[in-house]
Amino acid sequence: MKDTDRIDPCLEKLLDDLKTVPDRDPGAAVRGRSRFLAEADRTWQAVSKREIPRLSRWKPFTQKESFTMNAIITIVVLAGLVFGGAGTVYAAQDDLPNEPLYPLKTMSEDVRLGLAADPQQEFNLLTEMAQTRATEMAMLVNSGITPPENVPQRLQQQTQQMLQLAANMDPAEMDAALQQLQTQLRTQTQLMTMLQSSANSEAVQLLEQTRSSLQDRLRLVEDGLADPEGFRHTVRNEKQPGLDDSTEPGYGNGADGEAIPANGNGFGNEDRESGKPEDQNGNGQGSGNGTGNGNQQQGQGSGSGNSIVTPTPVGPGLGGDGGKGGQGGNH
Amino acid sequence: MASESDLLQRARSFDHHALAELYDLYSPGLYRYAMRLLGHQQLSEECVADTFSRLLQALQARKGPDRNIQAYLYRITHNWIVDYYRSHPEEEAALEDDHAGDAPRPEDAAIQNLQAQHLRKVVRTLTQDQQMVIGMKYLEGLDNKTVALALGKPVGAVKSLQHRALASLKKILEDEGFI
Repeated sequence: MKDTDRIDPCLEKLLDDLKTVPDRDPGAAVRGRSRFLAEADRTWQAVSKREIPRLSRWKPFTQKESFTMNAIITIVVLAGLVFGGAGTVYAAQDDLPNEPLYPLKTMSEDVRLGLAADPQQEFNLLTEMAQTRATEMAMLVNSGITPPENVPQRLQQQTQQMLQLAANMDPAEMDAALQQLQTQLRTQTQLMTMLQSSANSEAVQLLEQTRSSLQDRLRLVEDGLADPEGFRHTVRNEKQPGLDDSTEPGYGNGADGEAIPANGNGFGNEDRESGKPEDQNGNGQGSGNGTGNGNQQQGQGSGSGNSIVTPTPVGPGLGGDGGKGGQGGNH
Repeated sequence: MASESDLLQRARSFDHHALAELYDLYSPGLYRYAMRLLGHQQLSEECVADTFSRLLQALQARKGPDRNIQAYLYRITHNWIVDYYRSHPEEEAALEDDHAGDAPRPEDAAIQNLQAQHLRKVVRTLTQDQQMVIGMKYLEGLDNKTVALALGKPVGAVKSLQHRALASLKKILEDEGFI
């Protein structure tokens, strides 16, 4: 401290006594953070609702790129009408995974992703959505509720999609994206650790699994920042979970026997006994978020298997695996 | 870590990640600041929550800080504390003190808490700007530039405020026999 800042030692001693404060309660800190982010979501919805310029990016319906996108829009619009009007989708944005309009919330997210103008915008949306998943988990745990498995599954799937997008960006963009992802994954792994202190035993297990998975992705990102080419190679050649592992979360498409665009990210749980997808949990919620280059084909999606299927963006025909992922879950 | 201006820019477009980072970056310091002046954990949490809520409202209205968000947040927190004491004068003495003394014996800790409570009361007799200088500079250890930004005054004015604040504090505490 400079001379001009010198303070009487007795006064300094008294002020020092005020400096000692107890450690902040970690549970209260997490709850405060969750409330803030939830409020931010609500405020953002209000702001974005006012902003008309977004419409300028729309093309006429007939020019939209895929059948899947139109199908999803139709589903969302119909669902909105069935459940009570256009305001329903907006109202759903505040819902948590244990609330009735939550499926509408995730569907509307898929629509937003599908409308992304470019990979960078898609990456930004995914960043926001993954953070929303983490916040949802925090809010449920803080209310004494174990988050449904599809929430961490979706978080992991969105993280994986971000990795795939990053791996196909140019070097400067990829570096920025990986740095962003690194900070986000660090925050989320810390959150998963903090939440465990106030969670029940069932939730602790889920949180630990999620933390471990996010930590694994964080390591991949950190390696990627040191060795970008190695990262591209690893991500592009990574075994896609769910192609033959029926225990993984599912992102197949749900329309039986219908040809669905292969790079879809449908999301759902299966009824293992009947082999039928559960309608409420995402039957046919494919988002068609492929970022692939080349000759992507339409795959034969069937059912809604429990496996993460992330679009592989390189090479002809790889998108067809999206449908396979769905089938995998039905074994 | 992203630069502050980048963070602020992304926060302005309600980038969820940037907002989370802002919270993680500044809420611990703001909580400590509130605890030092309020001495109550739950109230301090409420103060931090309201501070960030007001930040969101400002961003929504396309207002808020163009730079140095830390100073901006401290200003909101301090105003909250001043408003609280203004609207709850009767609770000033009744407020249960969660201040953690470092005394090993309970009776010593109790005395330390009473002393802290009294010291907070003395600090509150200063002008609002003087309180902020004492709080931000001597309790939080922030530099003159940040304090000046929070007060919206030049650094020279902060030094002058600091001088007067310390002199006032010393006089009151001398009169009361604490020094």
